[in-house]
Amino acid sequence: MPLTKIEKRLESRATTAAFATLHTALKIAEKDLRVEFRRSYELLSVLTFSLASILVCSFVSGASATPVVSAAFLWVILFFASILVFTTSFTREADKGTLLGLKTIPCNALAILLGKIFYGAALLFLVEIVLLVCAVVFLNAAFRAEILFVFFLGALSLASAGSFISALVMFSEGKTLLLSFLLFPVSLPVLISGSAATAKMLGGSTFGEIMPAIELLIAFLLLIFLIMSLTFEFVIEE
Amino acid sequence: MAAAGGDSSGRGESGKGSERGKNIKTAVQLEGVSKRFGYFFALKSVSLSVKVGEFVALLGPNGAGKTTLIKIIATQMKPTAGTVKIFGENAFQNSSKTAELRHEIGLVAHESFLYDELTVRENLAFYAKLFSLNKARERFRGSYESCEGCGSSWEETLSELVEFLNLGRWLDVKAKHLSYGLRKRADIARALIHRPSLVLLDEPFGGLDESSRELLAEYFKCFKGKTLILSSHSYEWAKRVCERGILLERGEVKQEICL
Repeated sequence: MPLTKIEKRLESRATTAAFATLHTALKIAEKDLRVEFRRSYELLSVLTFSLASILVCSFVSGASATPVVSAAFLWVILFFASILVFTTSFTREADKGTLLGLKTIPCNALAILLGKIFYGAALLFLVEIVLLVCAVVFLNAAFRAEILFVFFLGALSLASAGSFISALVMFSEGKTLLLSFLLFPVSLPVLISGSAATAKMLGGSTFGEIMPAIELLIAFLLLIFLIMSLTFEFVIEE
Repeated sequence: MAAAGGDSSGRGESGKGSERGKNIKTAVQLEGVSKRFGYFFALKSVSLSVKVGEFVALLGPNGAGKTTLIKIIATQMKPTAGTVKIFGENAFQNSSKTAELRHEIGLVAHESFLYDELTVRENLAFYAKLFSLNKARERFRGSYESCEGCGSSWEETLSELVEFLNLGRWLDVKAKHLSYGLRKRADIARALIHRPSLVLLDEPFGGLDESSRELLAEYFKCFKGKTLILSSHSYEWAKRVCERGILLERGEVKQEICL
C-alpha cells in the first residue's frame, strides 16, 4: 500500500478518535452542569461568595479603585471561587462511586478530564461574568468586550489546573487542604498573566499591548495539556 | 425478552456467533494475575477461565479478593502481574484495546453508578450516548461475531430493558429517590444499555431483602446469550444463578466447584 494511503488512514483514525474524545468530554461536561444546576446550592454559594467579596472590596476602595486594584480584586476572588469549584469536581465522583462508572466508558481517560475542564471553565466563566458586572457597577471599572477573551482564557487555564489537581488529590486524605496548597503554585502563571492583562485592559490598553500576557496564558494551556495527556491515565488509577 | 442484547439461542449457546468468526470459546482467561496494594497482596497468581455463555460465581468471605478480581476483569484496575484476556484479546495491551473491550463489558458494582440528581431516564441516556459515541465497537465486533442487536438504537434497548426490569414507573424519578432495590435494578439496566456480552455483578444480592433477591435472581437467569460472572459470599444465592463456582480465599483460588 502506498505510504500516503497508510498516512491518510492513520490520520482519519486519529481524527475519529480525537472527535470521539471531544464529544465524550462535552457529554460529561453537559451532565456535570445539569447536576450542578439541579443541586443549585453549591453554585449559589460560589456566586454569593463572589458577590460578597466584591462588595467588601468596593467598601474599601469606593468608586475610585484603580485598574490595577480592580484587576487584583477580580483575580483574587476568581482564584478562591475556583478552589470552591474544584474541591468537589473529582472528589464528588470518587466519593459517590460514579468515577468507576465513568471508567467503564470505552474512551480515552483524557476525555473524563476534558469533560471536567469544560464543566469547570463554564462555571468559572459564569462567575467571571457576574464579577465583571459587579466590578462595573461597584468599582466603576470600564467594560470592554476584549476583556471577555482574557476571562475566557483565564477560566480555561484555571479549570485545567484545578481539574488536574482535583484528580491528583481525589484519593488522598485532606484533599481540600491539598487542593488549596497545590492550586496556587500551579496556577501562578495564569494569575500573573491574567491579572496583568485585565489591569491593562481596564486601564485602556489596546489588545496588541496585552499580547505577551495572552501568549503566556496560551503557553500555559499547551504545557498543562501536554502534562495531562501524558500522565492522566496513571492519575485516575486507584 | 432475553435480557436486552441477548440472543434467543438460550444459555450456554451464545458462543455460536463468536465461534463462526474467530472461534472464540473463552470469554475470560486469567493467567497468574496478582494485585498488590502497597505490601498487601489482594490477589496472588490467580488463573482461571470462563467459557462464553457460562454463568460463574466467585465465592469467598469478605477480603478474599472477589471485588478486586471483578474490577480487573472489568478493566477498571490493572493487575500488578499476569495477563487478562477478554474474548481472546489482551485487555491491557494498550489503552485503545482496553477501550474497545469495554463495549463488551457491563459492570454492576457495589456502588451505584447513577447520578442522584438525574432521573433514571437521564442516567441511562447519559451512559448509552457515551457508548454509542465511541464507534470502535463495530470495528472490533465485526472481526469475530455477527453482532446480534448491534443495529438497534439505544432508545430501543432502553425500552426493552425498562420492560424487562419493570422500571417504567420510575423512569422520570430522580435516582436519589429510588429505594435500594429499585436503584439496583436501574443499575443493572445501566450496565446492559450497551448490550454487553460479558456481565459482571459484584455482590448483587447484598443489602436486599428476600423478595428483591428472588426477583434479581430471576432476572439474572434471563441473561441468555451472555457470559455472567457474579461475586457473592452467599453460596445459596450464587447457586440459584450460576452453574460453576470458584472459591477464593486470601487472594488465591482454593477450588472450583459445580453448583
